[in-house]
Order: sequence, then structure tokens, then C-alpha cells
Amino acid sequence: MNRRFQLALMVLICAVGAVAARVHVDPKLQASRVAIGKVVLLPPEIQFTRIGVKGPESNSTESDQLAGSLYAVVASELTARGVTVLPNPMAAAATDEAKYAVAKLQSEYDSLRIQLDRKPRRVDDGHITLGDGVSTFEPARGADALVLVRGTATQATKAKTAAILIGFGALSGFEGDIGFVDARTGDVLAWTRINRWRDVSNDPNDRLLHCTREALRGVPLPVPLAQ
Amino acid sequence: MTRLRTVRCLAVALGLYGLLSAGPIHAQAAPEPPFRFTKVDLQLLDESNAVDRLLENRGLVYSDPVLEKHLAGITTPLLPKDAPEHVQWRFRILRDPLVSAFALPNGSIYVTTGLIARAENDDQLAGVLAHETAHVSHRDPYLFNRSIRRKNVAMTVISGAAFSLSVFDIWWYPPGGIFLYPEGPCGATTSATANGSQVASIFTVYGYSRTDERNADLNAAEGLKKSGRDPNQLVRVLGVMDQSFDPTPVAYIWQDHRKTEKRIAYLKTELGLKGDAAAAPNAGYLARMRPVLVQNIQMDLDSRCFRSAVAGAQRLTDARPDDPDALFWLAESYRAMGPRKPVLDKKEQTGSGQRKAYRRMAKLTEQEETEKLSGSPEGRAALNAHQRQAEELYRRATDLNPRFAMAQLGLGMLYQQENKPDDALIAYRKYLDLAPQGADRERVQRRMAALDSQGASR
Repeated sequence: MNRRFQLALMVLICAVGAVAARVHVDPKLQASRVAIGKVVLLPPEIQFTRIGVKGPESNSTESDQLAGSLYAVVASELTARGVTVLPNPMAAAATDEAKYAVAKLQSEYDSLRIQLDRKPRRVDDGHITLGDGVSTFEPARGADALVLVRGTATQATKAKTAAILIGFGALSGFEGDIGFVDARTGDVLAWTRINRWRDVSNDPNDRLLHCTREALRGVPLPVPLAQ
Repeated sequence: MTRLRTVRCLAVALGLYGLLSAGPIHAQAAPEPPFRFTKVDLQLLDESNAVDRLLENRGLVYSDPVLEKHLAGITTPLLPKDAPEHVQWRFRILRDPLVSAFALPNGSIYVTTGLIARAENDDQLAGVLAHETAHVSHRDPYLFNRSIRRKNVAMTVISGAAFSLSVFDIWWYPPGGIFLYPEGPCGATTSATANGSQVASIFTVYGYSRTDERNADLNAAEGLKKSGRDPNQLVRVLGVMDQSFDPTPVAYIWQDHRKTEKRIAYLKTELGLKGDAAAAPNAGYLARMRPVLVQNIQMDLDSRCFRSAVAGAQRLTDARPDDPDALFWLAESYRAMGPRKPVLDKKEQTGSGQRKAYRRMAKLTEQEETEKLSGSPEGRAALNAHQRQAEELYRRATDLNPRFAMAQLGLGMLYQQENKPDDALIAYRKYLDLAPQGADRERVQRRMAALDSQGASR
């Protein structure tokens, strides 16, 4: 392959990566017309997949464990940035209806997330909203924002990783995103991606900490991240 | 030369794949040995139990003991006398607008609220449940899982073979098994579950081989006949479920048009049915399933399946024309449908047309789609027509029940959409009078404040 072409391709990949990694912030939050002081952090939805020679295998128990770890990491990072995290709405939900209210909100966000993922810059224009129906979500009474976390973790076996050399392998890693939704108006206030090119299923609390901190760096929260 | 080698290698690889994947078909011709659990099967069983827990913990199971008992009641005569090993029959309703049903290998059978909303009577529901129980009794989930794993290994072997034949001429990417789960508005619950578990994506989206589906269909028809139910209703329900009102991302097992046509054809031959199976709507069924239908309308609206919501609400209104609740939900559905055309085009009703329409829809948020469609003359005409219908229905609902707060809220939102701030304020005020502690109080107050600031008269 031509060297110039290779160089151009690398520059392009880096540029795309840099744009994708940017934090997207609604103009109202950017201009401090709204602030994120109290949040309700919804249980993260994580898909964990182990990829081996026999193909990919998901496991709901491991997905749930990883989701629990990510919840703890995001909550501690938000607290460290001066945000009050209100009780986990799913843990507090006593009835099926209360649990379903959480699931419904998560599902509505998932629908919106398709557009967020396609063109996250629309958040910068203040054009993405879940609608003011979110204000009826009982556990978020008194909160400024809802925090929704999504992610996909893959764990490739050694054989599958080695198979990259011959074009049919896979790498371990974690790709996710965090969305801040105004608890009163439903506007998406901020959206940021979390990426980690390493297996996060072993010692997730430690391995997810740094990338989560980096992902939240550009989000205007009460306490700025120390350099 | 390179191209020729590439084609040759592809042919070798495809041939190898064909040979390897043909294995199970040959095996089926021989008498089947009794099913024995392997380590892989037990893992799948554990995973199935985990899926049950996940669905419960997320509040996705529609919990109604009376309805669950009713489902078990209509299915019990169709079950084998002795439950197979590691099977405990449970019949549950899943909160999902997707028209579907699936069985987990542990004997948990899920029917979605979308399916219940579409079915016309208990015989149809029994047919679907019998089909799913047949899969469990035949151990289809385990066999399918084993087959998937074999194919994945085969694909890896082929990749290696292709590699050894032509270093880097072919970049062979194995399809990665079954990770093309649906994502997006329709079937969001199933999608969420599939995200967490491979088991759910197998059984909800892909279904089994044609032979397994055929066996399960024939078994279900036989079971319906033996238990005194109308087996023709199985044919009818396949047709009913095949109707698509809204764009969907992929063809699901119960909504794959070509597959369904073939299934209807062989069932008709088997049952000696000439022509279409007659519709048999049952008032008792509709009355019993009413709360599920209402729940499904809400989910259809949340999932941007507006036409399905209108169809469901229309069914409720037809059954009870003077029911304020039914009128309210029909009004809500028309209001939400806004500038969208009431029926998909013929082209959009085909499998590929649906997927294209879905992709177009998924590019925009609901708000953006509404704004875009309202810009065209057809969109504006549809919007006006739907708004008129919605207003009339809200009015009828409030006339029938003057203390119906939600209908006042709907009217207020409709007037705000129509840019009639004064009328909107009146309706919002009535809502606050009727439901001073209502869940929507805060957003109504914010909307009123916004209208006030825009200069609406008090």
C-alpha cells in the first residue's frame, strides 16, 4: 500500500476518533442557564459478550455484574465532582409498576439513543429531547438530571485475539456512553462516550474508573476535574 | 489472476460451509436418539433461568395472576402428560409492543402484550402457546444452540482454510453468530433483553429451522383439534400477526412474510382448509384482555408505533363506543400520529420496504420527524385530519365523563400543538382543577407558564 495513503488513512482515523470522543453539551448547560446538582443515576445497561472460536456468547449474569460495577464507578465520580446522587430508583422500586416505570424510561432513552449515536452534534444545538413527560418519573422528583449509561463489553479469548493476524479475530474492549437528561424538560444536556481498549470484566471497578473520569471531564459539573 | 484465486477460494469456503452445515440435516433423517443433557445445554438452562430473573427484576413481566392462570388454563390441555426433564411450565405476559411469543428451554413461555392485543380469541392464543410449548417439548432450543455453536466452529475452520489457501486475498469475516438483534423503537423490551442475553435474541428474533417450525405448527394444530379448539384459528392468527402497521427494523419469526405465507399454506393443506380462515372476534376475550390492550397502546405510542396504537384503540372503541377511556386512548393515538399517513404504502408493507421505512424513521427523532413531515402538503393534510379526529374524541370523552382529567390534559396538549394558547390554557386549568395532585401537575404548570410568557390572555 502506498505510504502516503497509509498516513492519510491514519490521520483520518485519528480525526474521526477525536471527533467521536468529544463531549456534547447542550447550550443551556454550557451557558450555565441550567446546572446539574442532583441526579438520579439509572441502572446502566451493559451487554457483556465473550468471543471465542465457538462464536460470541452473552451472559446476563456477567452483564448485570458489570452494570453494577459501572453504576458504582459513575456514582463515585459524580460525587467527586460535587453532584448529589439520589437513591437508585430500581433498588427503591417496590412494585412491578415502579420497576416498569424505570424500564419504560430506559426504553424511551434507547429509542432516542439511536439518533444520539448517529449525530451526537445535535446535542450541541439543543435539539435532542425525551419530552417533558420525563417529569412524571416519580423517583426523579427534586432532581436536576437523569443519568443514563449504556455499554458493550467484549472479552476475546486468546485464540480469538491471535486470530486477528489472519483476519477473523476480535479484541477485548469496552464501548459505552453516558447521557445527562434534564429531569424537568427531557432535554439531553450532555452526552459523552466511554471507551477502553482492554478487557474490563476482570477488576471492572479499577479498569472502568479512568475511562469514566475522562469521559466526564468535559461535562460542566459543579466541581471541575483537577488536572 | 488474483481475482480468479479469490473466487476459487470463496467457492471452496462456501462448499466447506455447505458440507459442514448440512450435517445436522442428514442426522435428522436417522431415528433420533433420546435427548441427553450436555454441559452446554446446562449452561443454556442456567442462562434461561437468568433471563427469567432479568425480565422480572426489570418489571418487564406484566404481572396479573388472573390472566396468567387463564393462559395456563388454555394451554394445559395442549401439554404433554409428563413435563420433560428440567422443564417447569410457566405462562407469562411480556410488556412489549412487538407481536411475538417465545419459549425458553426451561419451560417459561412468554407472549407479548403486542400479540395479545392483535389476537382475536383464546383459540388463536392457544395455537401460539401450543406452538411454543412444542418447541420446548422437542428440545428445539438446545438443539438449535448446539447447531449454532457447531456452525461457528465450522466458520472458524473455513476461515483458517481460506487463509491457508490465499494469504490475505480473502478477508473472511464469520457472521458472528446471532448478534443482529433488533434495536430501536419497536420491540424495545425484547431488544433490551436481547442486549443482556444471547438466549433471548435466539428465541425472540430468529426462530428455528424451517423443519422445526413446521413440526411445531403441525403439533400445535393437532393439539388444538384434540382439545376441542378450532385449529383453523392457528392459520388465522398467523395472518393476523403478519400484518404490519408500522415500519420494523427486521423480520421477526412471527412477522416474516414469506415464511408466514409458506406456514399458512402447509397448515391449510394439513387441515384441509380451502380459502381463508374466518375471523372470529370474541367479546369475552377482548373484555378479559382489556388492561393488556390499554398497556400495549401506551407502549405503542412510546415506541413510535402510532398506527398500531390507533388500531388497538379503535378495537377498544368499537367494542365499547361509549367508554371514555377507549375514546381517550384513540384520541391520544391520533394526536401522536400527527402528520404521518394513516396506513403504510403497499411498497412499505413488504419486508424490504418496511426496513427502508424504518431506517428513514430511525434517522430522525420523533420531534424532527414530525417537523419534517408537517412541512409537506400531504403531511399538513394528515396532521389537520388527525387533530380534528383527536379533538372530537377528547370532547366525547369529556362529555361522557366531565371529571376525566387526562382527557383535559390531552386537549390542552392538542391545542398547544395547534397553536391555540387560550384554549390550551383553559384545558390545562381544568386538568389542574380535576387533578390537583396529578403526576403531570408540574409539567402542566411549566407549559402554562410558557404559554403565559408567550402572551396568551388569562
